[in-house]
Amino acid sequence: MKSDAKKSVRNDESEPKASQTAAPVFIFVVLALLLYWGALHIDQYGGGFRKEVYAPFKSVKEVAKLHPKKSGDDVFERGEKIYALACAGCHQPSGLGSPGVAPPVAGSEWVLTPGPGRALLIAYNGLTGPITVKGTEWNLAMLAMGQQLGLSDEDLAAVLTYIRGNAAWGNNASAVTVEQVKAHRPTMDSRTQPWTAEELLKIPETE
Amino acid sequence: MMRSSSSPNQPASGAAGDRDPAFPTVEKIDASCRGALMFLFTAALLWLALSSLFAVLGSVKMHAAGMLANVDWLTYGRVRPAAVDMFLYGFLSQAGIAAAIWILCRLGKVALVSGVTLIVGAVFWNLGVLLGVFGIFTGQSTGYEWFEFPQYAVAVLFVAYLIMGIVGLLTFAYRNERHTYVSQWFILAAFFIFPWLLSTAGLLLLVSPVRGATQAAIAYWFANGFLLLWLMPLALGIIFYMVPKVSNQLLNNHYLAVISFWSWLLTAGWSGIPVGARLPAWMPSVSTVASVLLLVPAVAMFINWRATWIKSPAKQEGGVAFKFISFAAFAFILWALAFAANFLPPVAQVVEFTLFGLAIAQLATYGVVAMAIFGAIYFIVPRIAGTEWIFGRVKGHFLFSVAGLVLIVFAWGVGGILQGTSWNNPLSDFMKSVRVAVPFIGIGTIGFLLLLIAHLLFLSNLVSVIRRCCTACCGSGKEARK
Amino acid sequence: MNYGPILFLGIFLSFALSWAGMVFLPQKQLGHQELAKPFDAEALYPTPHSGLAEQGRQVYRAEGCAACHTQQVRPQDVPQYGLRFTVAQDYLRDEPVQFGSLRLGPDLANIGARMPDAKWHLLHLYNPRITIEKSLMPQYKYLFEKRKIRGERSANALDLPKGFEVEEGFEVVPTDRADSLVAYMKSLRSDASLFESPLPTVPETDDTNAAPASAEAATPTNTNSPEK
Ligand code: HEC
Ligand code: HEC
Repeated sequence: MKSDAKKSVRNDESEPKASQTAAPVFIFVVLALLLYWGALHIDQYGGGFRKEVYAPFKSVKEVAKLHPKKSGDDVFERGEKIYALACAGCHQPSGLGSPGVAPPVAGSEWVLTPGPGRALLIAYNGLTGPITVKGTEWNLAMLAMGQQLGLSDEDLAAVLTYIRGNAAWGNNASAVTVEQVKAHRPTMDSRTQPWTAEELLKIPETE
Repeated sequence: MMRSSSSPNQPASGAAGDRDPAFPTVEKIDASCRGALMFLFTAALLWLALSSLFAVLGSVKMHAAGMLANVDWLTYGRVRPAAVDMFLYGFLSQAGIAAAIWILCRLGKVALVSGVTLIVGAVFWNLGVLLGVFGIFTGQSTGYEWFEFPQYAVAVLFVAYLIMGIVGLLTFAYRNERHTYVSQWFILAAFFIFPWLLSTAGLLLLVSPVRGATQAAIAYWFANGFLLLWLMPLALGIIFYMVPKVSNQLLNNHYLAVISFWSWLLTAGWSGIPVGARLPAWMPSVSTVASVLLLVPAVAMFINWRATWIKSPAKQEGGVAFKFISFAAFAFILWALAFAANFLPPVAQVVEFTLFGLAIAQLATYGVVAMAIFGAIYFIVPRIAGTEWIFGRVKGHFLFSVAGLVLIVFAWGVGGILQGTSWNNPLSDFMKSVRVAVPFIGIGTIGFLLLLIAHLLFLSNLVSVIRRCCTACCGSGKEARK
Repeated sequence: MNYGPILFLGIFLSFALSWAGMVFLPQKQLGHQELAKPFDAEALYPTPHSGLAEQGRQVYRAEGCAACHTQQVRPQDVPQYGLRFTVAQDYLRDEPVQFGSLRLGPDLANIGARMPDAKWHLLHLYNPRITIEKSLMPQYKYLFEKRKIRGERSANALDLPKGFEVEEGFEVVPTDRADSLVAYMKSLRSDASLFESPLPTVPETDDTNAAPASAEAATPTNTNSPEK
């Protein structure tokens, strides 16, 4: 080892130089492709270089659209209306609930199940008794909102689609179809009491 | 032994052995560097040892909440930035400047223009770092990452840098060998850009601060530039020099190096704004594109190095230095991949704000830059001091450094991914993400301990070199220092 | 490239380009932001903080709280940390802006809304394990003073729970630094409804059903909406 290093100390006159080989063509191809991708990326996600546009929005138009909601028959928007009318009083517009009033639906494991069954039954027939949501225990009672307001299958599908898929709350569960609601109709109609968490846990998550 | 003069790979003209008699010999060049460079390297190594001590303390404090809770200057929020800044400014920048200047001398075939001036600059530089660290410990941190030093320290650093930078630029300007090599381009770019970075950040963040979130934009730009356009070019300059030098070959491809250099320079400055930063969407998306584009020069450089050293049967020559250099080269390509990935929105969705970011920064600053600088120091010091290292300690340094780095990067990388996964699970509460990370923070602490051992070995080795150098050649050593 | 000045010019131009894009442009775009009129309030946003809270911000900076805490609510953080994601407007009065890059502790951009209780913050700073079991956050005992009780117990002394008490005859009182830091924590809230980041439900005024197509018409009072 030692003598090796000494050697290199001695043979030290020549300094690095580069050989004048032609550059490989592929590097230009890769560079061009990446530049093309980059232009597309900035076009799509750059928000037109406007200071009002933050991800996940893509343009000022999209941000502006959020504002005074246009009435439309979009399922999600319909769900939002119903939520504001029937649920937001307790669960808050933010979906975060409020201590002593109602637990959060944003990020709730009762809402983000693969199937909408449990949340649907709660929304229609109400809920009572102890329930654990996001690690916190609640013991309150929720009225049979759906039943009292006479929400239709379409309404229920819309409001559940809204709470399950509300990206602003971080929820991203699948949308709910009218057929899925119809499948639970018999259970919902025959039930006269609010549900308890224990009973609901017996219903498979996927339903 | 005779390889360098008889190798068939040597360029046909103007290199090995046929030195222009008007140029100074390498011995002369090295002697001109001796005093100043030994000063810079020694000071840098002291900062390195000190910073790794505080890094250990910081890492312990990450999981020992009650430790030293009554001492305000040792709170985590001061220890960690102090350790990082000692490493970045005290060690990496200082030793990087020294190694770069030596390379400029060697490639320009010119003696250092003024060792004394360089030492004056270095004294101020160390004063600046000392003041800055003192400022952090006494609660005067600016609050910007990698730029925590208070205004007065930044001012001293700036002046100190100008003195050293000018020595570097003059050394380049007075070069005898007019032909330039890629290492010189990178070093020149770094030397030119660094004062610009420092003064922009100093003026717009400290002297007359801009408003609101613009501060954050500039702080991101500074930290990114500090890594990609200051530390990295120094390291790349070193690697580009050392690879052909140690393997005794021509650099594989000149034009590929040209392309890498310019594409690096054109894209690097646009990166640095994290995907989730609370700034208008165009800024993070531009940074995403820049970070991915950086892969082109990164891969091109790696290919170029590899093609160079793979040809050489002689890579054991100057072997210890080459170990560090080739490690830096591999770490570089790994880092470039992780860095680009980190800026892709789907990846950032998971790992942003987690320990993963620290892991990548550690890989860059330590795995690439520090490793390249270690290699350079091991290569340069025997030449300028005329004394050999104690090889056992070099080996130990290498092993402990690699083991420590791998532990840290692994632990923080995996810990970060677990943290991020936990946050993205809506059913999990925050403390769960802390609990999953704790064992990995513990592993990280072990890593920092290993680094501390490595650096103490390194320091003791340097001390022994200096001692032997002084006793062996007392007269000439003193002369050069004057 | 053997000619120094040309090399230099190239380096200068390529770096100047990124300087223009990442320093000059952001400054031009965000550096002159005005206070905005939120949808849900009369007062211009962000409202000024009290002097005490401003001092607290300096304590936050000096103690390096940002080494573990971010103040950035991203869209995906909204359920945990706030009602909406934060935007540049929220930081308009901050100096220095403490974005942070590591979240070893929770995000604090909206902590004032989530945790308005000063007592809780003081106990938590004194020893985080009083309020959060197994917390990893460092204790900030040096922001408090342990002193002998002379006569009456001080009104602002901490009520330390069992297991955390100090010796008989002693009490723990917050220093000015602790008080200002807590005032700062309470001042941290980003809950005004802004054009760039509205709260989930926007109050529906009667005449907006006209469904304006352009941004400026949609937000006639918002000073932050796109330039006309
Ligand atoms: C009167 C107030 C009130 C209204 C209105 C209300 N809820 Fe609830 N909700 C509660 C309470 C209280 C609980 C918890 C009951 C318990 O503790 O057993 C609850 C629980 C829930 C749960 C299960 C726990 C969770 O957070 O995941 C769901 C799902 C739910 N509600 C959905 C809805 C939907 C959908 C609507 C609108 C159709 C609605 N709620 C309207 C008060 C209300
Ligand atoms: C070593 C990292 C670390 C540092 C430094 C740190 N914290 Fe924390 N902080 C944590 C962790 C971990 C938690 C979560 C556990 C808890 O609440 O105690 C936390 C929680 C908090 C919370 C409660 C947040 C919530 O949503 O419940 C507040 C408030 C807070 N920290 C303030 C501060 C302040 C002020 C400082 C600076 C004086 C600081 N922290 C420094 C790690 C840190």
